[in-house]
Amino acid sequence: MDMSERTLRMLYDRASTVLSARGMTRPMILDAGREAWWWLQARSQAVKNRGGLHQGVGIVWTAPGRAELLPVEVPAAGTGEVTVEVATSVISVGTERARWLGAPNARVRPPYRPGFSAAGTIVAVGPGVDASRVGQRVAAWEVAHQSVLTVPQTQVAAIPDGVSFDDAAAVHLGIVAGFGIELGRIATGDDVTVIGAGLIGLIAQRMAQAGGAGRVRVVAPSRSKESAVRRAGGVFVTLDELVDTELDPVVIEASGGDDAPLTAASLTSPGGRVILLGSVRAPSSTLPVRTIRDKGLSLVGAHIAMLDAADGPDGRGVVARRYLDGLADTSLRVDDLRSPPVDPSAPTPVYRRLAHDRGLILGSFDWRLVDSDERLGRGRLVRIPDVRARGVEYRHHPLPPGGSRSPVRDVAVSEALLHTDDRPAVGDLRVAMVGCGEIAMQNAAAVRAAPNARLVGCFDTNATLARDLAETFETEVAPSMDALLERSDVDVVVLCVPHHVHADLTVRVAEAGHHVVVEKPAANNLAEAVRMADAAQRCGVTVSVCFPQRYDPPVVAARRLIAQGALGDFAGAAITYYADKPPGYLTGGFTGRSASTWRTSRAHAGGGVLMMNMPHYLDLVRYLSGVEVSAVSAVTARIDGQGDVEDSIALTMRFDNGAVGTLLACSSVRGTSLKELRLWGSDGHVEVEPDPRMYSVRKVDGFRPTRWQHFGDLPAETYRADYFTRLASRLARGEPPEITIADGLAVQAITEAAYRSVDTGRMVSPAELLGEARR
Amino acid sequence: MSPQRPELEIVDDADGRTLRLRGSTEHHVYVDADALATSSADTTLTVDTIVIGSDEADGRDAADAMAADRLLRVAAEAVEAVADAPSGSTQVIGDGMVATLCRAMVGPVDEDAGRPAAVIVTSGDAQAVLDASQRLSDRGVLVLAGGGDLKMDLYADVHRRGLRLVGIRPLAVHRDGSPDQADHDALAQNARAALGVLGDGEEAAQASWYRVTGDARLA
Repeated sequence: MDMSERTLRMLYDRASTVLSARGMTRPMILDAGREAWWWLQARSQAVKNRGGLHQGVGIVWTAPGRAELLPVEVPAAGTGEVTVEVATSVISVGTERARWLGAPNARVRPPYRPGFSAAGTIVAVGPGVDASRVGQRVAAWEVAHQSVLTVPQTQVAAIPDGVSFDDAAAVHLGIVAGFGIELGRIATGDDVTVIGAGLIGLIAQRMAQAGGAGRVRVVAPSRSKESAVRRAGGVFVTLDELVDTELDPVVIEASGGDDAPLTAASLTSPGGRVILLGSVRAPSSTLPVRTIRDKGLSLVGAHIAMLDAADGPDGRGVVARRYLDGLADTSLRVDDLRSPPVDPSAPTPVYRRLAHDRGLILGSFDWRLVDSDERLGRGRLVRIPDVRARGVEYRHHPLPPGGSRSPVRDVAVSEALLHTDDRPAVGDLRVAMVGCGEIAMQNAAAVRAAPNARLVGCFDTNATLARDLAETFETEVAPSMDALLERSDVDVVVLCVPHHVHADLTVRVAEAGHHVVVEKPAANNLAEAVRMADAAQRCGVTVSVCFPQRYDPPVVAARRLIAQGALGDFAGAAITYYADKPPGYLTGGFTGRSASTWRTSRAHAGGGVLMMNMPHYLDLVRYLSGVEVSAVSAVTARIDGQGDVEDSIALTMRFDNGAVGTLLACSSVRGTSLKELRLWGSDGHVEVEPDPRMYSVRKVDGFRPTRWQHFGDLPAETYRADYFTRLASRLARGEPPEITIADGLAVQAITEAAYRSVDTGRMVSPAELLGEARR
Repeated sequence: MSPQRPELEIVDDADGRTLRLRGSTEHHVYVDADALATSSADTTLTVDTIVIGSDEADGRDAADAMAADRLLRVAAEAVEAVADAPSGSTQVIGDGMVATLCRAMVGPVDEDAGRPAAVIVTSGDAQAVLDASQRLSDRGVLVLAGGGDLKMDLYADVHRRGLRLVGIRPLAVHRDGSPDQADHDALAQNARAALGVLGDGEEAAQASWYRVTGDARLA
């Protein structure tokens, strides 16, 4: 270890200690270390080159399964170097797939900059560059996927006129295949077998043909590439169709399959050559010594790392020019193998497709789709390295008190995300409150805050509560329920009463001709909720179940982001609710405002924590995902002395689209208060509570893809007031409420299914229960 | 009807390793010592042999000479495969007569030359092939003149390092005809002098190759 290594090691150790003390874990520190190393490397090279820095963007695999487009810095061209603004970079499908999937022999440690091959235009040359000039179109190899590169001039080759950037960008693959062809020493007319029909195999086939080989046979496990082989005049055979007697003097193994060397040796004629071009991924595979000896074969490892060792520093350049010349004189073509180039801004979906789409032959990133100011700009030598960890889910690790150093980026939610209805509030909704307990106080406050609603009266069998609410909100107490219902200046009655009286009162209110708002849940059971829906229909009024959390800013933002595709295909949801409810909750609610035992009775309340606290979350999952729950199973636990309602419930859900969900709700988790709601899908993940934020591989309004981002500064919670404001506007316009009894029925059916499952031990369909209740 | 061509088998059982001669005893049968060291998971293994029919050679001495020629031919082929390797950079791994002849042909190894550019493996031991591949310099030549299939990391040990593996056909498929070797007579004479005999049912004295006349116990 020399002096500079010791210094670096010391600095690293010291930084590790500091970062560790600040709550960063070892993976996060490694991530930060790599970032710092890149920062240092760019600057030390820039200083050595006596030039500055260019800034661009590049693809970084920041964690397993995650790719991001991040800023990159490259030094200005030094002696013998050129700087290239990249137009296209090609994905080496086989190798990048293997690395992305972490195949044996192909593992890389994030953060990692993938890439192999690119084409672009020289924008600067360093001293001593004689073979290249500014403005020249060049192909470059052994380079990362990024918008700007500085490389030795020996690492680029001029693109002949008439050859496109997209074709030239596959130069690295042309070098790999060309090296194999060179080692095969194919004589004119020699028949050749190529095993594997990936891009390397197909280019090898075409280069062999261009070089004068006789019949070129391509062997592959499936027919997905058959047309590509035949289009170029090759013979295609599947592995199953192979006939052992058809032996060729040269066999090029380009598949990297575990048994490929065995197959290759078996297809080679005595005295022939097997070229191992594909990287065998298995850590241990059979070397067919017996066949190699019996036939007197040569088997040659053809990794291009060995190319320069054989042919000097320009070894790759020689093969590269052969590839490019083949494109120019049309003896070689690859244009028919390409998929359309993709935007590098959201690379994760590209790699996900690469991982699973075996039909993909040649993929590429089109850097011209990136904004020009991001693509190539002037870098700043003096800049603090951004060592915030990207590859680690920070919530799984301790953070310093206050969490102020969260590596998750904040992004302010755009105004547009927070509004689903831009129409102004209208109307003058006259509201009467029935039941004046705990939740009625909140609803009354919300009505007062709504610009288009006002409280006109209230009633409670407990006169003290009614008087208190009336005094607080400056309204009048009705002498009786009937008296309240007879009033013509009441538009809507809000029911804040025990669950078991929801249905009876709804029927009475509806029959009196008033609209109904019922605090969640709709009722104490599904049959009662159906009775409420029937009454509303019969009487021509609306019943809205109060699910105001739909207007909570994180939910509004999440809903809009999901609607714009942030999740992709909805795949799952998880709800966690841990509460340490006060001892008096079951007899007085959270505030103790209204003493009653109805919460301890399943007959009255309908259930425990699921019925009391979870309807909001079940509604939000439906609302955000847009998908209904198709089946439910559950188990519950009770605590002695707390009636016949559950204290805890664990619920699993199956959704109509096949997605899954869980709900774990516990009323007595001592010392804890946690509410968590998250939804995820094929492309993203939204956490609504407790820390509103999003991760998506897609570029969605205001958010950059493939990184966790907080929703930023959200407006203060006014969702209950928003609920009444929007209800008032809708009714004033003669429109049904946004949240109706149908939503209440859907949630009620889920809770009923859960309790039915607890009783029967089977999965239960909410839809079937609803159907039964309606019959 | 010609007599059944003999075969040699190594049988691994509770009594240890035994060499069994199957088929006609009218032929002259020879085996390289390295072939007897061949490792295999099988309990019965067919051994690479030189078989010279009684009608091919006029007596035992003539058969010995023909067998030595065939050994020399295999060795010459192996050495030819490493012709491009710098002088002193070829190692030979094995203890049999083919190995001895190869050493004689490639000359002494330059111990200061670093990793060998070529290795000729005549040993049947799979581990010897693995060791050889790892010992070779990048882009080196590994000549396989012995042994059977084996498991290895082909990416790390062959592909990535650009090794060239050359298979030398087994002794059994080499036929008459003296190799074009400058010091042929001296080498052949040395080979004949080193010949041992296996076949009395007992364990034979160590030799680098053997005439096999019957079953024998192996060490």
